[in-house]
Amino acid sequence: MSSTDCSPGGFRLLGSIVASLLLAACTHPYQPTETAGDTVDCDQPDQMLTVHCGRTPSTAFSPDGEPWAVYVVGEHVTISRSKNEGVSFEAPVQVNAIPEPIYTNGENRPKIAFGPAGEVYLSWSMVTEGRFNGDVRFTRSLDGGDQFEPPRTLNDDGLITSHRFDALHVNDEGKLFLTWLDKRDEVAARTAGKDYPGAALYYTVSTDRGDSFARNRKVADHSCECCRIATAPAPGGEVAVFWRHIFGEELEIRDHGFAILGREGVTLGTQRATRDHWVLDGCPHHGPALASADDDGYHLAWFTAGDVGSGIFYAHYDPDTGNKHQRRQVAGAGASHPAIARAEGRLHLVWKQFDGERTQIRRIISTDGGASWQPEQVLASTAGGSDHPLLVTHEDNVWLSWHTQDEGLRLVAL
Amino acid sequence: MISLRRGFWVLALMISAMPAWATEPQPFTADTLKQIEETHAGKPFLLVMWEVSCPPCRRELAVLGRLKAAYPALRIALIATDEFRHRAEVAEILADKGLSGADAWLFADANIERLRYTVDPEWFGELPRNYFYAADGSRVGVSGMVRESALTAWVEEHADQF
Repeated sequence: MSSTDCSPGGFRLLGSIVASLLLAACTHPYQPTETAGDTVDCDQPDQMLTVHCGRTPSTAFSPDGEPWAVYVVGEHVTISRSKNEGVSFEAPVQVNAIPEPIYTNGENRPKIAFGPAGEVYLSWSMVTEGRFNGDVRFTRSLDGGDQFEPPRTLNDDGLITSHRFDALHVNDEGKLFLTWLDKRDEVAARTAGKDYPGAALYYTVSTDRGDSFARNRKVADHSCECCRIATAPAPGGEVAVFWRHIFGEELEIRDHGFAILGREGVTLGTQRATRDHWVLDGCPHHGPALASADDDGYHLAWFTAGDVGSGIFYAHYDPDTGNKHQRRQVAGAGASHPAIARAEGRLHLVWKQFDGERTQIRRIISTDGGASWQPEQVLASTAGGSDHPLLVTHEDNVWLSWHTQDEGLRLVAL
Repeated sequence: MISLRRGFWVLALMISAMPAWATEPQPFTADTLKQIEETHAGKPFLLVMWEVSCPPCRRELAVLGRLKAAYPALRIALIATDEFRHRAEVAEILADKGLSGADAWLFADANIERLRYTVDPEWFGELPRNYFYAADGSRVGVSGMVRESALTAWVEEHADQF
């Protein structure tokens, strides 16, 4: 796409043609959008830069309780905040002044998180030269989102290879943990004439609000190479990470790894957290979800099509013993992309379900830490294309954040 | 997005009416699988779903390219599940794998769940996804890259029926 493209990107067809026809109109003043129940018309010039018409938005709440969305318009990361809990969004702010190509798909989207003093942190994966290569990019605003610093690249190997699928986590002390999938070891292996299935999981930490980052550290070799990474708070300000990983003597099984990352290094090395024995020389394009439990354990939600069956699964995981409890299949055919979150003693698990006509977001709730679940409910649906469902927490509340072609971004309080 | 959709259909008709684009991947819509099955009725064929961003898919395409060269009569339908904006890249990869002459399509509806459902309600989108069709229209679905030896064996077994 050209640097001035302001196509209604999120939804493909004719995007570049329409954008070129409407290019001159892209500077129209922004009009606030009411979306509750309305259909978004991304052909309208005043809508093209909005969160509803951008690509792959992620949402987070600022410390003062306002939802902010980060998304991509053309080659620009863009943010927009809402002062009325997502009913409408304020004028978009362009983050990167110099355009750069950005990965935008359900598994690999820009991320937003806040520091305790309202610092705004953003990360994304920039497309670099070659096929499926990328760099992990980071920027911040220390003035409440008015101005962002020029983006920085966090992978420190200097290689043109894949550093993508970034996950951004800020702990309670305001320290930043950036985790991503990295193919630098695959490059080294290939140079030595060896095979290296998958990618590797790497991370870096900033303890000074993003002034500086520690050297990149490897967590694990042979991650799956195109599934999102899930993170959750661990005790002591550390970070739990749950990702699709390649196991087996011949590296033929795509189950999930679990590890805990500290400031100075990995404090709990890779455990095999799921044992579905999914033998697949392929791409699930289907990363897992993770939430901290109130007993130092974790709630896992994931997709598999292994020996145990196909669909969305849930379990409570105890990293001290490596044991899972309460494992159950949540959904089968037509289900995809789970998200899980806990607040106020309630555990919410949502996923996407196509029923042959419409795509729905379904939700189950547990009030006993995942031991039992209430009957599933449909939270939202759409007739057209749609993004993954995301769950966003703020204090004691959980929100569904879901971007759809016809309705734009909607936030639903759960 | 209504006018976008209408625009798409106009484009789809334009594409299908332009012989110069005949080797480009065609738009795959909710009706396309039925058409593919009708085209190959009574014959064994291989339906392969793949995507640009899937390394094992590209390895399998390379095998299929070699098989297609060795068995020109081999019936293959290749469907990329990428967004339609990646059409040029899809064509480029197919050409690179020696498959520019093969019948190829590209997902052309933002509602990918709907398109996947028309292919197989039991398929979750993992790639590559292979369907081995028998002459009687029955099929077996396999997820992940199929080993070259297994693909070759299937082709050799069915070569006299293509």
